[in-house]
Amino acid sequence: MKSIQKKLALASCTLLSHGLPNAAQAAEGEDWAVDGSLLHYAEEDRITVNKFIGTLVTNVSESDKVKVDLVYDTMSGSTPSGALDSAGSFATVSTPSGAGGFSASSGSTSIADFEDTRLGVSLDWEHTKKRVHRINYGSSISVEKDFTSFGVNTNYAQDTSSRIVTYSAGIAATFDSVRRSTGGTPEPFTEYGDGQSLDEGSRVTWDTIFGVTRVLNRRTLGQINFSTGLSEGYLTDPYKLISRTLNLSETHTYFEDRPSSRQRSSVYMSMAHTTRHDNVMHLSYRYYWDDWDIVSNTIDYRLKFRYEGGFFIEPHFRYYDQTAANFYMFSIPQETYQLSGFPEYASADYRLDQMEGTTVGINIGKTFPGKGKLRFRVEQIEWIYDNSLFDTNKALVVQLSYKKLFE
Amino acid sequence: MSVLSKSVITALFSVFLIYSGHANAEKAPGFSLKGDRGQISLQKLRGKVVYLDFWASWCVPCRKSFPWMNKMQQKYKSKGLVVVGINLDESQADAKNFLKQVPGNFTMAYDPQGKTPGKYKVEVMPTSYLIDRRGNLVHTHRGFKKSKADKMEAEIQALLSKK
Amino acid sequence: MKRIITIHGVVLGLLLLSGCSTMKDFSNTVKDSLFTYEKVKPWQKGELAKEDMQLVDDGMMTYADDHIYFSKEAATGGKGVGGGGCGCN
Repeated sequence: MKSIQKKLALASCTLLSHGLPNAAQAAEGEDWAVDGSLLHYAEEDRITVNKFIGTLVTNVSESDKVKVDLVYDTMSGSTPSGALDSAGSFATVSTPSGAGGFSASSGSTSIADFEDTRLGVSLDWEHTKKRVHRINYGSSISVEKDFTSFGVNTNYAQDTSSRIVTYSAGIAATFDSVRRSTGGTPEPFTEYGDGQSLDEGSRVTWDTIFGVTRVLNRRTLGQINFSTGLSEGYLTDPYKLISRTLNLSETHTYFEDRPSSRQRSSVYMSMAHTTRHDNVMHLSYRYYWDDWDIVSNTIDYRLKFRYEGGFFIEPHFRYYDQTAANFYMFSIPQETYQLSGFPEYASADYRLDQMEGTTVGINIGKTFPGKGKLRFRVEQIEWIYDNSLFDTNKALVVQLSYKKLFE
Repeated sequence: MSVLSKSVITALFSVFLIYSGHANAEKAPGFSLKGDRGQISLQKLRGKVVYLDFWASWCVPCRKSFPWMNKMQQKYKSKGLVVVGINLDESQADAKNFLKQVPGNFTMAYDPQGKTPGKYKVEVMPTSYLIDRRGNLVHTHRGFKKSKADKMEAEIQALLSKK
Repeated sequence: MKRIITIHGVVLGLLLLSGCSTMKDFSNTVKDSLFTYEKVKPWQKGELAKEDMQLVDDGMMTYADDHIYFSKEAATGGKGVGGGGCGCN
């Protein structure tokens, strides 16, 4: 089961962090740069994802740069559905085989098995005018069994004549289509197993970003970005469930329901600094808030130690926290239900719960100046949830990447 | 086209370039910097056409500019062109490393303290200047683009043909 | 909110300290980075020109991270395109 959040952010992902080639990513002298990566993501007892990513950047002319990305994912394993059993823990209700992707053999609706592959392609063109103006056009497409996404974005950046300050502004639009792998989307708050199915869900997301980057001193670069976005349409996860426990032996499990609109904003600050010991430090902080009442803080810190021969070792630390969405609940309280029926919206998706996450990792590699870069990293992520069936989720990330430059 | 017509056109073009150059007639700021073999001083180059290039090891377009500058130096040396590269790396080791990979077959000068680029109001790396035989700063080129190479060569020829 | 001093917290401390072997190092780094302002000349951009000094110095890893966290967390986006670099040409 994939989270809606991932898809909601496809536009942001493309526009904001990846779709735009930086001046130095395929350094101006080299005509081609190819970067390939293999990533393995494995949660303890849950999902495993293997990704292959390929990127090609080329200078088609003195003022034009084109970038093509290809991503191929395979996902498998199981994930919490949000459902509970009578005792408020693992559901043991037997499920109709094949419905909604649940495994009949596990006999549980609290954990759902799934398997999927995804293919994504994106294309980006950057045009430079009069040295200081850069305009970027990007588009992307992503396809998997139960999700299709198409996005376009454009970004404009301008340097001051001294090249000390860069101002940028961008906008992105993403169109997604969501459905269960068995087709359609479930009618919200209908009982799981009743098989009420509605049409495929669709939504549109608009994102804008404004940023300023400034050279603070010879060894420091700083940036601040303000972004805001609006998603409208089907924002529910068609697989996720929520339970209502009457007593020790009776639990009803329903399909969840989320609002059809979400407005989000963030302030992001980032810095790159070379220390007196010639190590490169990257530090960033993001403050995020949306109209689902989720407020979040993210801190990311890396320190790169550089050695002779182009070798480097870079430890990494990330801290994340968020408050719960205002319609997040562990289960539908029986008292509330008796008084006024279903709440307007409700979800037991742990990704909307109040949580903290920490990541610790190490990246090691070797730079071949003018020729390429090889790097390998291992990271361990741990999330702790305040009010979910599963208290924690641990994941291991292993990634190997190699970039080659061609004249 | 007859030889006569071609000569007339070249002459007219050169005159045009000379006069357009004169619109900018200001003296190029002097300097005296350490080179590979003794001091390099602009004063001592009076009478030559000087192509002055400010570069650094970390400047990627410089990798493309060096082969062209080598070509120009070789082609027009006998006519009185002197290509001077002023290196602005804070560490000479970086400059030497660059030169091992990208040879510069022209006059090298080193200004690690960056005193000269300020005098020339350098805004971007690299920047090159064409100085005529009388020491006037005639042309300024910000950045290096292969597409501008032919135009720059014509400017060099025009200045070389002046006395 | 549960605040648990996990092994991660300890490692964070070690990380921060590894970059700064003394308190003096730490205060120097803070001063050098956030509280030193220079009007950097174009020929003084040797350090800034290094690929390591790009805000997104490894697009491949940033891309992978963004996808991982998007699918597991509610907050998204924020990063943009940056300036900096050697400012050449």
